Amino acid sequence: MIVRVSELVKLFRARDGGHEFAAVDNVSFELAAGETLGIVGESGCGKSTLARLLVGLLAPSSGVIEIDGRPLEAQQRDRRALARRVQMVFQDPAAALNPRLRVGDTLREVLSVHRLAAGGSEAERRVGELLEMVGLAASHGSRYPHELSGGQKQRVGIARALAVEPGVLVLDEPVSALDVSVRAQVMNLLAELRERLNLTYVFISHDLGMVRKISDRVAVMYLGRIVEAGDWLDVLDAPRHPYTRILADAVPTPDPAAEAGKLLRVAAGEVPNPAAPPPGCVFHPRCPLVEPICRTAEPRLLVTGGRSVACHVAQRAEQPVDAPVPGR
Amino acid sequence: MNGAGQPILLEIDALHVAAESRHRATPIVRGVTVSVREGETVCIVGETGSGKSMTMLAVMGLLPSPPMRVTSGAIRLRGRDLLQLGERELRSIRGREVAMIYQDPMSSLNPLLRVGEQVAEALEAHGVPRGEAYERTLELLGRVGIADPPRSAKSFPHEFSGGMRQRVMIGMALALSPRLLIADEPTTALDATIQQQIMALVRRMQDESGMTVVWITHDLGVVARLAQRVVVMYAGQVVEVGSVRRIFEAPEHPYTKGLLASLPRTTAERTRAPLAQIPGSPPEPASISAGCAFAPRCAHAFARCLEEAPPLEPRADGAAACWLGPGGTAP
Repeated sequence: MIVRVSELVKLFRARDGGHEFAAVDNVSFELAAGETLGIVGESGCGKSTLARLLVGLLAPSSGVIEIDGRPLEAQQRDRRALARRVQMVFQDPAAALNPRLRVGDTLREVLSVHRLAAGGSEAERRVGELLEMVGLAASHGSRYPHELSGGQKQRVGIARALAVEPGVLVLDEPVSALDVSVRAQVMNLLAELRERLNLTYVFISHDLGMVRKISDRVAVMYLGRIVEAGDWLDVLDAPRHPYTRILADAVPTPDPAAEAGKLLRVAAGEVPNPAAPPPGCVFHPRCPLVEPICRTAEPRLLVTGGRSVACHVAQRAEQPVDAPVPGR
Repeated sequence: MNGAGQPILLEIDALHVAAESRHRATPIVRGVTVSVREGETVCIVGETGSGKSMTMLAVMGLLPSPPMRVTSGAIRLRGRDLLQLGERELRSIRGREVAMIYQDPMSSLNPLLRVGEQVAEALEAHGVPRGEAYERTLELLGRVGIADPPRSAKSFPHEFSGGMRQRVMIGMALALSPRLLIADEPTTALDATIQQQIMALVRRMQDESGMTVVWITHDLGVVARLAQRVVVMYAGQVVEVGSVRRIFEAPEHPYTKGLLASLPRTTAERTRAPLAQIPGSPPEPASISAGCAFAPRCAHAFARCLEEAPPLEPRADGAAACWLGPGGTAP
């Protein structure tokens, strides 16, 4: 396993300065090399906090992130080398690049900070190689970000992440800010790089179509918890958790025949404030299948019907197996 | 109501809008012609810089001017050219006949004013007597699905979620029962389940009143769920028009075809094959090439496409602007 996350918790203090709440609550999963885990969920589900924990931009409150079998700890000597194994690509490439630096300088800076190029000419060669790897010409290195299109900027963002030769990329909505006619180019690039460099992806997106295209497994998050996880086809086409079903129905697909009649089918309610989650199952106030037990007892994530589900009702339908880690 | 056979409500005729500076005028909307029938739901699809928002802001008489200015064309609402009206007449049309909702409701709400007060103020501005305005406000908030209207009316906009703010905007837009609602990406910033609530709310309001809806979006899923008719825009022009079924099942324009082909399939089998991609990116308004604006990205472009812009010509169940003949065959 290249990444193993066990019982990860991240606490934040509520804005009113009072109590602490879990933005990521007891999340566990494993990723094998070359595999892609899609993470879906709405505002406040904790997917962005999880991304920042994975790349070390935030420190966990408890739980363990292991990379290549070694736990990522705050004080260790080789922390930097270990953390380098996981890199992030951001949603908005314009905001993620320094507008005053030429693209080549942005990449050279990364190489020099991590001492990855012996001299000027080696850095030069590597910058050209990185740009070509993401489908740009070496000559793009002399351009400023504002001289590039949105798709080209995102390619630079990917090149920067690849500069340190990571094993894992955390892709946080990598095509959502791009024009629709450009998204396929960047998705194809990501798929190609995954094959070529044997990369492992955590692909965070609200676009279920793109998640379907690229993911081997999918985890659905709601208010900091994984509520369902499993093989992409099981989770997306035969969801067991009521929230996954509602989400799958809510996201419109580009197929008028399949969409007929869906317009007036509405799930009530909004995502509660993550700082004040409801008792019991956090989804119960919006759940069409709610039962008395859901209001008091939080369901555990258990394997049932071939995937992990945290739902009392779904678990009762089949005999669950106790296996809290949604791995393989 | 599906609009077919109904009279035309809105007619945009050869509209040109330019961004003007001291030294030059950059064309943003380049000869857009669209007509919308009473009771219809039309989706305008396009990417950044396609001119979709500017076209509809021109209908509202709300172009950000300067630098934007209508340079030629006509916009007729029930036959009356809105471009010939003065600001006073326009103001009475906005709200009563045409209303608009936007992507970011926060920018249209006054952060310092309680929600109920600003809805009531808007009603009063349109002649609802002061005594009635607050009562009407509470009724409106209830209609758009805001829980506990008397209490919610006393909240400030920042105390509301994005979805609730958009509900307030819809309530205000529909307060005077306009004939036409223009929705400019009102759900783009919202989560999927909230987007679905907002789309259903607008449809319910439409079913109650027979209102016409023009919905601007870049999301082809939203189009498939919502639209009866689709207008596809690219680089300031309409490149294709058609019924929603025809656009998705038999697109005529290479841009529409390319967009639809680039979307991931929703079928159970999945191939590792790459998505079909359109090369390049949409042009900046200042650097749109002569001839067909899509030609530099089009796999089928030939000499004529680079020299002469194709006109929008009738095709089965709509129209397309492409030198290739019907079905994409060479002329």
